[in-house]
Amino acid sequence: MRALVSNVSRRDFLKYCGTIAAVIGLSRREGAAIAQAAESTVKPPLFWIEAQACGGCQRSFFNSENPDAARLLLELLGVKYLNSLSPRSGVDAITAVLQPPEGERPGGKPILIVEGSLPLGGGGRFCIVGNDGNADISASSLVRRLSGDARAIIAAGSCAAYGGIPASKEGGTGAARLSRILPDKQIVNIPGCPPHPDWLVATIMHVLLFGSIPERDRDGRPKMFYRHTVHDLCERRAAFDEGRLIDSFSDLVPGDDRCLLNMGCKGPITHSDCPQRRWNGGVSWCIGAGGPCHGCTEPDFYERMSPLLSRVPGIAPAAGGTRSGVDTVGKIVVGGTAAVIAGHAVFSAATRFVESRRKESESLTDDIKGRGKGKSKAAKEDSGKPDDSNG
Amino acid sequence: MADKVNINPVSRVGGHLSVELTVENGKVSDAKVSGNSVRGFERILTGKDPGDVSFITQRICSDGHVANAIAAAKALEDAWGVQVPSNARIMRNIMLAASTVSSHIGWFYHRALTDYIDFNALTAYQGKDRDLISLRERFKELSSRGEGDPFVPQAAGDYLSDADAVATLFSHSIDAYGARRDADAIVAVLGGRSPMGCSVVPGGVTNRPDAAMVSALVGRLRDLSDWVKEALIADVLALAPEIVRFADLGIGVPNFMSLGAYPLDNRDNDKFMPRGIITGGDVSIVEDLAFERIEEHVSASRYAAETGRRHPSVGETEFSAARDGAYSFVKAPRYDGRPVETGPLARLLVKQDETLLGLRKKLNIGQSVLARMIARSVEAGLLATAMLDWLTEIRLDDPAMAGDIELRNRDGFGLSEGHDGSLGHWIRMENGQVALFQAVSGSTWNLSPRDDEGKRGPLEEALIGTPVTDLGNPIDALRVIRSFDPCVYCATH
Repeated sequence: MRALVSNVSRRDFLKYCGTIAAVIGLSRREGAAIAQAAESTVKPPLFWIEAQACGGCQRSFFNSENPDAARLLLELLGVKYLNSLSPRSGVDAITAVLQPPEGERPGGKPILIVEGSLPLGGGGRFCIVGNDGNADISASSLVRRLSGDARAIIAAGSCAAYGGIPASKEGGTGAARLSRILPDKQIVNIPGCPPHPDWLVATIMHVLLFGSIPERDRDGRPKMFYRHTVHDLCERRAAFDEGRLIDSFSDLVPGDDRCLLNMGCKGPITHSDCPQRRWNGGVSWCIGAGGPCHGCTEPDFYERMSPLLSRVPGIAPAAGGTRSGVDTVGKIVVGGTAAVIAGHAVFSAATRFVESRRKESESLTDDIKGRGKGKSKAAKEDSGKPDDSNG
Repeated sequence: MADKVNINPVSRVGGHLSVELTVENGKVSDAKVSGNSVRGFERILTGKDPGDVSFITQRICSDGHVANAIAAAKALEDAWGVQVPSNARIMRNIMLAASTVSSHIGWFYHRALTDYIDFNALTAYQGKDRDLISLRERFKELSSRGEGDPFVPQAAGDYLSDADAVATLFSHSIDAYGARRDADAIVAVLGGRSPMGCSVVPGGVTNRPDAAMVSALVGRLRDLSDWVKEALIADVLALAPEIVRFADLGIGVPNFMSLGAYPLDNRDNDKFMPRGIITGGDVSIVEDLAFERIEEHVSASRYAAETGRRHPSVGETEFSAARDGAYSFVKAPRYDGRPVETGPLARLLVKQDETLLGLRKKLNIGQSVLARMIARSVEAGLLATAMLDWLTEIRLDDPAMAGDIELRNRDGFGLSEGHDGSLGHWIRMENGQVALFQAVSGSTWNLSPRDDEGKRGPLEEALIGTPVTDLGNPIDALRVIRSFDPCVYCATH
């Protein structure tokens, strides 16, 4: 990698490689090896395909602090196709993506990133990404065509990784996770809605520098970022242990550090390093802003995390501030995520729930519980039907 | 003899957009604009807990995440008779402004600029600026290996090729990623994360302001304001004289609307971007809005025919993906039967903003491609400056959440203004659940296909008369399209 600005010293450059190494959890010596490995002068090609997306994953990606977007675009990655940035349109743009180059690509095989879910319904019509002059091209079709040649395939964000919000049953488009479209391929899932830029960037860098995808958990996520639960890493854990919880957002005081469990925090069942890494250059994070964790890195996000403001059942502060309840808590909840249901008030977000409405909510709760029981395992399995949205 | 030109995908927009142009005698004589993807948010939120809405609707679009959170919270506040306290109002205003500024920066440098400058002209830079020299050398090296993406290769076009000007714009387009990142950090100080924060809820904002938060914002807001003035606005005003012919291009429908945003009082009366509508072309006449006059047609949209011509409060989203005659997943909203343009130009016209009106007159830009470009950057400047004023109104002893809220099974609607235009959420609750949720966004208005009477949508209308000299490269048509900052994610949701 050549320095972007001519007066960056080699020392700065090595320090930068050290930063990358630290992000990936490597030693300083390995950081120097990275510098050497990265001396290749040709940027590796990258195809970023938007499917049923919202643009949040790429916006998060380009908010990366270090390496920043300038370095990503000018030094590290050859962004050969991303519709939101592509200089050209139409047939010119889409056929340039689809035509494999003659011979070896300089820079090696491309990395394929997919953002958004893929619709199984409507004959592909719910997401058409282009027309090659003969026929419309669906997102699934484009992704399949690009997957054969890929050095690595990354499902960026919860929609690509697990189906996300569009895969909710009522969505009506048959939105599915990427692995439904590419069942025989190894895919690295980087869930989050959106994912933290570091998770995406470091995964790409791992592929580029070590030629392999990072070690993943059973949900396909790199263990280095998704190993622990938010609950285990949370700065408000002491408050949980001591039973200092808020029951209403209007209870919050400036600098409040009380636990948000009763506001629906899904921290105990959510794997991510948000509490440590924090967001947007470390200025804040969801719980830090008084917002309960929605569980957006989990396969269960979104539908099985709903209601977002209702408490995860089966979790209570351990008596006397000890850790005794923690491991048990994790186990109970993982088995029962389908039963994440309103324990009491349907809407507990703002304040006290008015007594006259309580009866309505109780009958609703019973109704939801009845539906919840039937969904626990079946919901996780693919039925294979074209309309199945939980891919 | 008419030729048909299909552009699919249109790049440098939000989501999946295509257009079919009919070209006769070197000009566009007809246009069909298509939104080619959809996810079904309105269906997904039906049956859900109302507490989910202000979080989930953010995912309609990353550019519109704050606008959607606010519209959703307001819809519930409307249904439940809740007035948010001043601190919450101010914090929401700052978040929305910062997010909108971020989007406008991204629009000019990462979506529009490629249509106006020849990036290769950087290689001819002869000046003495060390950073520009460094960028020139790096770009030369990359280009020589065919690695100039995503800047080049551009389509052929009449681009600005002055080396000094291009070098500055190219360099700013790279700095713009940092400026966007910094604007998002401002949103995150208040929202927890950007995009997709978690502090906007019905009743206010969960993030109770403290001195640390205010102090984290002061410097950041000043820096952003400086950057918008010294880069974005300066660049647009320097570019404008070079592209005057775009003052005649892309003039759409004579109707402009703002649903209003950035309330300046707690009764939602006075707003920094006022609510109003201009119809019939005289931009000095701004009328009050009557919301009941909004209808969404679906005759050219991929939805069941019987769901057409509905007010959003009784709307339905029933897909009919292959229906005859339908060519877009965007519905066709109409006000009093009229297609209406929304967005920064519409907002500043409704506001009767002196800066925009003055520039408009001086440069004779009317309601053109150039007018939209200038309006977008002027709006960014206005919002960046306003945020600093709003910050001083925060009271650290005051709450950011309303008191007791009674959950009611009622209808409500919430209005705001996103980066691309007017945004409305309509909601009904029954048995404590969402029974109806409908959204109409700025891009739904702007990108709409034909309605029941066959009237084109604003962008389709703006394309009429656009010159096309090369059927294989209708660059002016693409400039018209991008002037609306189109977002299919927002439009179809």
